[in-house]
Amino acid sequence: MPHLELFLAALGAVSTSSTATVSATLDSSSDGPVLELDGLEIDEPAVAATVSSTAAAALIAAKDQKRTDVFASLTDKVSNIVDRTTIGGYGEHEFEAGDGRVSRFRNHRYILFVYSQISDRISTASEIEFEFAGSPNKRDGVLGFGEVLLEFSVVDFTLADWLVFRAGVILMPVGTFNVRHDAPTRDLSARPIAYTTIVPSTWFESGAGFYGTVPLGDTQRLTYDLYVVNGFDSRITDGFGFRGARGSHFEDNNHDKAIVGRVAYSPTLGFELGLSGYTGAYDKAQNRANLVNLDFTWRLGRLELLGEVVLAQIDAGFVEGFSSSSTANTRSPVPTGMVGFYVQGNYHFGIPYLWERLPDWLATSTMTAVIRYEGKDTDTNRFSAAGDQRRLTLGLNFRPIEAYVIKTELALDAFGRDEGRAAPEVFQGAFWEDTQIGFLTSVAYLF
Amino acid sequence: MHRILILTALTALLLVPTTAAADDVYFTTKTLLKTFFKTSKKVTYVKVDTKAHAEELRRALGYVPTKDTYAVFVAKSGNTIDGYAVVDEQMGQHLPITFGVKLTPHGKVETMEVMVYREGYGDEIREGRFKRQFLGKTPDDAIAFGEDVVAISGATISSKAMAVGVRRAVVLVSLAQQQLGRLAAR
Repeated sequence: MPHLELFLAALGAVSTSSTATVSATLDSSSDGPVLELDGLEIDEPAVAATVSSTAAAALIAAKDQKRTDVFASLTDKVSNIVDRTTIGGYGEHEFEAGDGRVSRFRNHRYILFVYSQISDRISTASEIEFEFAGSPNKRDGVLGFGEVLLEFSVVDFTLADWLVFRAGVILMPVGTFNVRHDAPTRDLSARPIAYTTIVPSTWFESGAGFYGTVPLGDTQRLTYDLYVVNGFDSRITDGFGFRGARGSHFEDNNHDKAIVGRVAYSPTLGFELGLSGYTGAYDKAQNRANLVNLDFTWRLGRLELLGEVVLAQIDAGFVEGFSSSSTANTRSPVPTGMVGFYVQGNYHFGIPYLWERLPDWLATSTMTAVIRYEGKDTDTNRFSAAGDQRRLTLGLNFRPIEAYVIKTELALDAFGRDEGRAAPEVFQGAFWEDTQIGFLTSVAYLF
Repeated sequence: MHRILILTALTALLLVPTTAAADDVYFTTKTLLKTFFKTSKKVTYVKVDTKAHAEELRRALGYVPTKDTYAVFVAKSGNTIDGYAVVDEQMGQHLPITFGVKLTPHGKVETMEVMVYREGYGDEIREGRFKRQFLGKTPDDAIAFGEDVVAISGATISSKAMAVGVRRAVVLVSLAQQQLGRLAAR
């Protein structure tokens, strides 16, 4: 039992916390009732390495010393790291078919998640993504580099509940989708089109800042995130939006640092409203890209409603400013405005007649019916087939257990016409006359 | 110069440890029982055999729990039962969540506590507004996500896990009450 020492030290001690309903340290040997538990084998929890009793803190300090002692054996070092580290992850495998595409299976994502509690107040978390099985990757019959990416890697220093200092590769808190994008927790396989382009999920940048939960009584909740990051570069295009401009693990193309933040207010359990934004120079001429996003989540019994809208304003400029040998310097003008949105309804249900006949291990399974309507315009000053799009998606998924989901969905896509027409809305006849149909099914799982 | 001093002072202030620290609220079974039943004289237990109650459990929960026996803790003062408690685990996103549920002598949920939360995220289920949803629940209530339990945004899986866990605890206590009733009738 790896936590035995820690557990013994912690037995009889309850940590103090501002959010705890019981805040006094309790000695199991004195106050309270006599525990007559003879004959009962108590399967005590393996107390994690964050118990803040004095005795446990001393043990943590001793373990820290072993972990960092240059003379400690490798076994000691490893065991003192493994004790406090969690490894998990998720995967998503898809099959797609439909108009304008070749049917195919896609090994879309495999993500390894590592979380480690370094000390009482310091923790680190990372996600390593293998997209389309990583590298090498065959495209058009040619092997090339694939994507193995550290898309999230932070170290958090908790100064207080309301003030946690975070540094590293940070998921940009513009809206909710980008920060809550894990496939097994989503009810559709395809991400919203505006939230892969205008908010280019998974959108990560190198930076630092603070987040926290501000106490607002026992029923309300206010959370915030505020970071300074390298930010977008100038590869901003119609169609792909900011997708090519994201991701600054290594470099920034200018001295300006972008600011990104989100405030979310939850007046009651099940309802959350968020306002977020981003501002930063995207080129050497200090032209700026600015985003503002509004999001909501509302749970009404079995029904869940969610939606977001994002607006982008971009100073006129060009895709340039990289080193002179870089092919990224296309000198194409960047779009100066973008808009995108989605509204989604999820209805969770079971079929009593069927469920009663399922084996025990499927007793807590659920199904979810989903409808989503969404759109994007990645250049509000011109019409284009790539940049103007509306999509209606109908989906159905089945979760035998929470950690595994089979999703199916049918998507109807309508596009704009180059320099001719914006993408028609679902309530316009043109949407139904000019629609491409796509089918997507996937399995997603947590481990 | 003044600005530098103010910034330095603010930074120092932020680095002063506060009682909030990391939200490491943990209980062992013994500390939880002592906390739940502070004014009781003693806490004993009865064992609920899940195989012996397989049909009742299947009717109430839709499944028979995988553990063969569960301990239902019984708090007493003299011959009076002050309440019941169940300590159990339910799988969260990646790791099990250990939790305890306290019930009144009539088998209604009085409070619940997360004893060990092992994952880095999603521990908002310790918030009072989430836990309060379970108060007063009995076996006659659904205690299910989408019915009478609302999940927390960003902690959906942990929220659902707690609903499943509390529902199981309530049903186990009702079986323990039947056992105790039979014993008393002898």
